[in-house]
Amino acid sequence: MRHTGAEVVWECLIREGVDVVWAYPGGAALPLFDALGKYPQIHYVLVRHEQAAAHAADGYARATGKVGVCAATSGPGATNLVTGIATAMLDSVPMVAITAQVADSVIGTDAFQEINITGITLPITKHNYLVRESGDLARSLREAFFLARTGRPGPVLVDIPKDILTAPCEFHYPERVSRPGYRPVVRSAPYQVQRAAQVIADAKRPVVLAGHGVHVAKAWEELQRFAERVNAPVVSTLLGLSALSADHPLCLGMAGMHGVAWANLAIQNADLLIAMGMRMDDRFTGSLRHFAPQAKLLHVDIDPAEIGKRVPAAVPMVGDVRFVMEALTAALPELDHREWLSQIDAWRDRHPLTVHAPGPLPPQEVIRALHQATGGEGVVVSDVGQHQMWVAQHYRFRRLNSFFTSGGLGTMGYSLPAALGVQAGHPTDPVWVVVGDGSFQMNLQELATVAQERLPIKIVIMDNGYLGMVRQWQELFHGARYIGTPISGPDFVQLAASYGIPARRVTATADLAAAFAAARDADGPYLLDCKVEQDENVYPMVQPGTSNADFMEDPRGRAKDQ
Amino acid sequence: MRHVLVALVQDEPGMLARMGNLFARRGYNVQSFTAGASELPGLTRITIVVEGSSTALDQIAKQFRKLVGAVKVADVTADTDQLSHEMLLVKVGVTAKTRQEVVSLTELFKARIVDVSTTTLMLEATGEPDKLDKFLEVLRPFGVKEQARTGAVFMGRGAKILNQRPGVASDRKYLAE
Repeated sequence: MRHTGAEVVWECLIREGVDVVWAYPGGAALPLFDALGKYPQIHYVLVRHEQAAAHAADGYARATGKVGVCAATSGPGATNLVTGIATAMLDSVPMVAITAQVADSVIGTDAFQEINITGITLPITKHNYLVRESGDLARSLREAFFLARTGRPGPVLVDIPKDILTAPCEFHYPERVSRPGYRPVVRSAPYQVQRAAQVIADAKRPVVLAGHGVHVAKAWEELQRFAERVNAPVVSTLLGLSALSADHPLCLGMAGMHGVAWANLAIQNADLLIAMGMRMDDRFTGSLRHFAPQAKLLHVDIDPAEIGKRVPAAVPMVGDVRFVMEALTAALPELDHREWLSQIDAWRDRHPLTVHAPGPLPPQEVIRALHQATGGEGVVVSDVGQHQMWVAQHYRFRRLNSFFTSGGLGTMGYSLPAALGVQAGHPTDPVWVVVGDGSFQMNLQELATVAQERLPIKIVIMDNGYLGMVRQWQELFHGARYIGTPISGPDFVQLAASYGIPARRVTATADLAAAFAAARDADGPYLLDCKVEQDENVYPMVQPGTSNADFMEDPRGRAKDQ
Repeated sequence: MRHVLVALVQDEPGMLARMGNLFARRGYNVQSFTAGASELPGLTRITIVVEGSSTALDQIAKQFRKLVGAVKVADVTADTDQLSHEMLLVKVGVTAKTRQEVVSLTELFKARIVDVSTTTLMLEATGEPDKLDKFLEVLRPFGVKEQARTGAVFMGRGAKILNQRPGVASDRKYLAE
């Protein structure tokens, strides 16, 4: 049967199991949207800015493990995707971005809304395609999905000229992808497993480092069994949170610049780090010169380029962490590290997380109220900044793969649009967005999409009138000169109302429980504008260039409660 | 130190830009970059000579290997049993008096005269880059008007072939290939 190129695009997406696409139309993309009328099985979500389409596809992919799809027109439509694509690249998120391009005959002439988007996205995609012939269209899309989801996942962009979208196109979806040289190593060799198992068995103070790779590999059960077999504590990276239930006795939480003290101390005193699907990001390691001085590193990642990139690995292992942990668990006897674990418990007692803000609404209390309202079982999307760190510290994730945030790129404005996709992946659960007043204002136009789709997204604004994390750095490292960080905003409650979204303002800790219950129990979306303490800092904090063992604690001392 | 990467990449649009991006991003100075058809249909053989530290180069080689379309990437820097050859075209200014001297040097270096004018000779030489450097050095007093070098290509001696060797040196110890 004859199709147009545009129809072939949708036919390919259907073969890939795609049922939702976040997109924004435009001139060159017109044929693509016109053909969509024939494919009611694909739910098209009109966002209000292309950046949101990319973040939504990203959120969907993180929540489901499936490839998220976004689409935009040529020129500005395509460039607006860029931040979202880069966010997905840095966090290894499988995504296919489809952009329309000006007609092939005018490419290279600076035609209206022409931009070289394959050139622009070259460093921020796993791969990209400019389709120059109808015959390449289906193969390019097939490869795009294959590359996006296999090996170390990442975004792939397919740029399709308008005349290819309109021209007749033979539809043949290739069964197989032939990319010589592309062979991700999934299973490590048996001798490597034996060698690694021996190193683990010999360790006295092992720590497992759980990264985003555990989520990508869906290796939550394998992680728990492995950690239990080794009897080793599990420290998470920011994106590794919720890889192991916070209730599990071996779960220590997040380490790094704003990591909890006991997790950082565990790493700094460990004799073996077992890194699973993480890349030793600088926010995690702190100063490399001081990082884990007594520890050997057993580094497992599916991407060979991550191993030895920042920290030399004594035992490098390339492979999918799910298979590797399964193999290691099978190769190891039950180990016992009681003393080591009780040492970590002692650190936890000595350096607990504190809430010591003076005002009526400490920001940490907002996160604790969220935890209470959801029982730690919520699906949480956080933006970037102080509130993100407070979520990482104070929300105890009991539900696996329930935390979504922009880690590597640190993209402000991520949370609300990403929640559109996370919600699509969790249609029956409310999705909680925790966002600062600065981040919220970067993509608040998506309130319209939330209302349009009637999504039960609960937005918690940590409203302190500052770009808080930058303000904190100004306070600590720039002589408390708050230049460019005080930020005003609209009345968020009235703003929500104008989109038909119920909202309320919270100004005191005492009101949190009722406010969160109202948000949780509302059928649709809800917005809480939490007027938190303005000058609060995130503690503990490791100053840049120093050891993670030398964290700054809250100078106001230990809080009454923990 | 000087490093040499030899690669087989799929012959498709954008590949050159992807490779260039890898080196540019880390501020690497590429001394030479050559590309040409390999013995395998659809695969281009690339030879890149760069200056830089070993750890940084190792990371670039790994990133190179990750490019979709890179079929084989080998760091051949440490290989001793290999040939590296380059071609040079050089236009030397000559007078009636100096012409014969340049012709003798050309013979001495086993180079060829490929073009003659009343005031110039164009010479073609191939061989190890060091030999070409020396050739240029002895020609310089006569006046090197123009020179073009292809950049070196490398090939191991003996029966071993590139497509059958393991890739990036540091990957060998843990990639079962």
